[in-house]
Amino acid sequence: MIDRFQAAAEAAGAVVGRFPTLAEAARHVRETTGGPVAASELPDAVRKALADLRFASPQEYRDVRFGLSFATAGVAATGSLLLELSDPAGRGATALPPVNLVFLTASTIVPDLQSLSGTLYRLLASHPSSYLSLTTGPSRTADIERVLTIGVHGPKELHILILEGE
Amino acid sequence: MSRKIIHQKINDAFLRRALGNFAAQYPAARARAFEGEDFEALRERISAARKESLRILPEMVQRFTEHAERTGAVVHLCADAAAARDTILEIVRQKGADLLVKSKSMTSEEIRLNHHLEKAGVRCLETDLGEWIIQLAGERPSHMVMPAIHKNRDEVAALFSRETERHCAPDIPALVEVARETLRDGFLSAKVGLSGANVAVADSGAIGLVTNEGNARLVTTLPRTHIALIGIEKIVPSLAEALDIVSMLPKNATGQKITSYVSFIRGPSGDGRELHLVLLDNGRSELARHPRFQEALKCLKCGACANVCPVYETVGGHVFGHIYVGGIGLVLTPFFHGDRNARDILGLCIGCRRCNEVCAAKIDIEGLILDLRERGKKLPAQKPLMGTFMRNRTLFHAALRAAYLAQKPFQGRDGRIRHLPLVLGCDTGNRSLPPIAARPFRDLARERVAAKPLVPGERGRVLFFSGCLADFVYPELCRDVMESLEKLGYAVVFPQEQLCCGIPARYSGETGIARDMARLNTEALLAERADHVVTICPTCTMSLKRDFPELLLGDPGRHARALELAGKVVNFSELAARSIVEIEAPGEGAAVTYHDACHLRRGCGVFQEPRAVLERIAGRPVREMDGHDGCCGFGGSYAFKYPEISYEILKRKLDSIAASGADTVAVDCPGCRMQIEGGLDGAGSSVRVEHTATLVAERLRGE
Repeated sequence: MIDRFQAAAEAAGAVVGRFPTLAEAARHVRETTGGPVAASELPDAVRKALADLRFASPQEYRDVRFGLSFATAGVAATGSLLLELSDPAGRGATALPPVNLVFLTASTIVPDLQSLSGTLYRLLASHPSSYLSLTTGPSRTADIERVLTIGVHGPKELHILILEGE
Repeated sequence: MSRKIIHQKINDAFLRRALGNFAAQYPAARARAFEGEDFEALRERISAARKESLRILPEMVQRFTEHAERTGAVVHLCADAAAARDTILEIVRQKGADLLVKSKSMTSEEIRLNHHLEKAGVRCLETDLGEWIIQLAGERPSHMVMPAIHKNRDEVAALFSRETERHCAPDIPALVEVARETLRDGFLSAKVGLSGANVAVADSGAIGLVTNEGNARLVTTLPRTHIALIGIEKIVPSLAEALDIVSMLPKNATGQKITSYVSFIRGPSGDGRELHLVLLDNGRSELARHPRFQEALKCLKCGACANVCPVYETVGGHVFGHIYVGGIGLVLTPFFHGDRNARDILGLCIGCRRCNEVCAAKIDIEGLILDLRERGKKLPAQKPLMGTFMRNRTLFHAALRAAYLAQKPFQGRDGRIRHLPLVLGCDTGNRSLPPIAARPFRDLARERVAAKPLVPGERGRVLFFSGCLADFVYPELCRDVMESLEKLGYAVVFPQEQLCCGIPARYSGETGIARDMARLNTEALLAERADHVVTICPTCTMSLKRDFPELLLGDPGRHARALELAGKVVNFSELAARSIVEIEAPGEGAAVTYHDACHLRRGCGVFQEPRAVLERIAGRPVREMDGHDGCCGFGGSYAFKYPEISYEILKRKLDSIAASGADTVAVDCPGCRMQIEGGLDGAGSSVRVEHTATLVAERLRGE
């Protein structure tokens, strides 16, 4: 399932890395980003693992190079990530920076979109309002001469960090 | 549609190349996207769900409204375009805004939102790359999914240079970067953003957006007020139906498995933010109640009908459509933008039915276009004249005989017609026409003697319905049909009372005449005892099988008789294929390539039988050509009404034929034969075009 997810995500233009532990994934994030990071809601454990990272304020998102988020689930058939982005600032963190890093726990990968419908249904019903985003690869366009061009208004790069041991 | 505009689009080299490349790539990309998926089952589900939702549309609106309001969203139900525009303007003004950032919304094009808001002093900023390009150019989308497919990089660079007041090179990645950088300020400074919605979910009040560029996420995130403009037909009962649509859209639209972003938005995101859901009726409620045309509202706006349309490929969406383009655009235009705007474009459909084959919601697009023509404009002199001639067999046939004499001055030495004087008002467009025969088959039929069967025992009694073109232009083909079937063991009769099948009348919107033809032909063809009624023109087949019972629905007795007739109608190749076991061709003849007639393949679902008959009875191996099921550009009177478009479509077919290397093209339609033969003759080719029946007859005669 993880292999299928990785193949589909890579076919969609994402960069996929697999990490045995959160600590190793966190180290990779630190090494990649260096500077400040725009982050959407992250689980406490992730925040803790990245405690030494500087998190940017939403006002800075326009100029920040890296966005960081944590996926609720992955879809193997299409290499998609399900992101819960009900907080507008968190949404901005995945939409404005040119490079997005997303954690994905391997055990949350499901085979296809249909098998995600229960989760989607639950998430849509559980809060008074919600914003769910299925993200597949970086932002893209083919609006000029149908030439595929990666990175228009959204991220130009999408890095998926699969946590295999968690 | 003016000939000048058509001519201009046909001669727009970039447009032709862009559309041609896309048309060539789309089928394979689409097939890959649907790998492992059951397209038919998926579209069947979508179609059924849409139909049910349309049946209870007011209830769907109410359910969606209730659930959406519970999330804190404000729902505005707008009866028409003006009400929706006013509502949106009011929200923008309340927020003290003078800028509206937009992500792509065809519905906002429908109500011409930008035009009206700009007049009221609100600047609209399109952020979808294609939409921004055409906004800067002051044009309208030429495709529902790829709005700027008609613009090349040089034009885009010039537009961007003008807008940004600096030089932008015609380099696509650089141009995309210019859009990213330039539009950022708009996203960050706007107080109000407007999106469309691909789907709205009744039981949660959520909307779904299917996008690639990421602009919709910015439009629905950065401004504190989000307006979504939604046609009420987009409401589905629950997430299950929404996911079917999400699964269908990208695959059918552009051949993508899924888009970069699929977002479900339910309610405003707290913190004093606002979400306004503007539900647009604009004639939808009324259309949803129409017994026939409600089907049009099942449309998901995927644009696939344009992607496969040979006419769209030739002239683009600025000709083939109004604001909504492609096949479904022709259908939706009269309802959303009036008969005046629809009148010129409804005639542009060639009737090849490829759109029906790929429609995500299984809409009978071609059939709806035909029915809409009936409502459209009719030439004042057309009706009485057409009716009088077609209903009266003697008069009709006398007129065709007169035409035989009149054509004499225009015939070349080989009898073919290559130039027609302009007074006749039609243009052969680089094709030659076959002459009207000296004696139609209906006269020859009286004198002929039946051929002896090659195998003992009678297989059944057959009535031969020849269709007008074969009767008057290809009498030798009619002879081949009767002779082949007789040799295959059938008793064949040519009923002298048969008339035109009525298709020309139906295609011109003259349903009354078509109904008379249905009545008269049903009587003529049921007057004699027969097991089968054999046709050699698939358009006639569709008329006899599908249209006659429908046209005679109002009269239960006649309807029942039409159904009885429909049960007997069969295409020549279908019937011949049943004799394969007894008659096997001895040895192999020269290879042929096969052209699938649109109405045979997509109208009757017949494509294996003719190939089997060619290989196993006629002894001619079939060498497939690229695009064997693509339209030849004939379309009946279409070839004379729009000769330039017809010829452009034909050229693609001629190229495929040449590339196949075969010296003969087999086809099961006299119309396709006439078109392809004319094109090959015009191009100086020696490739021969024959109806499958003729190739069978040749073999059975031992030629």
